[in-house]
Amino acid sequence: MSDTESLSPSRNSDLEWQVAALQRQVFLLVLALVVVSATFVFYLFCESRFVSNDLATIQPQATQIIRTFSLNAQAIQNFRAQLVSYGTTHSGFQPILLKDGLVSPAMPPRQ
Amino acid sequence: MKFETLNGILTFVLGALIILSVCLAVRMVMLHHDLRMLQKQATQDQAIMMQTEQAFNDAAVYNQKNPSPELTRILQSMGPKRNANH
Repeated sequence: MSDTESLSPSRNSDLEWQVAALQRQVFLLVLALVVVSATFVFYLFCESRFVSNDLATIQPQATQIIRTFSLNAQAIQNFRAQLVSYGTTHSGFQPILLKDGLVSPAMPPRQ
Repeated sequence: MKFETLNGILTFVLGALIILSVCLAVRMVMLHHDLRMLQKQATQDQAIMMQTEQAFNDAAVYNQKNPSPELTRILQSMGPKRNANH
């Protein structure tokens, strides 16, 4: 006697009903996953557009500042070094160096 | 059969959305990185330039009260570059 002959018609209909229910459930779950994924993609798209706009707005000004600094970096460094050197030989100038942060408070004054 | 076709279509759409989300996430990470680096560099450079300008102004005021040829020479060396930046 084969296995298929042992299944009653009522059991067959139960199995068919369960299979159909599972198919519907899988369909609904995949549909929900598509909706969630689409929402996430929409959020990422909007966020990337906002950040891109911010970058386009800030980039010219920031590039100008960076370019100005890079052109004068050596002169600025030399000027600061000269002021610090002048402060080591003139104690009256050291409070100005401390105020402007060119030296740390731990720097001992040269006698 | 109907559900199989629909599931196949939804699975394809889901795969496309996943690929799109990965691409957008990578793009957003790169944009955020560029924005942070640019802001950080510009802020640092501007702070140094402002600090140097403040030191120049304070040194000029000090030189008026306590004239010094050496300090005058130092200030004059920075003077033309400072005027060019303003």
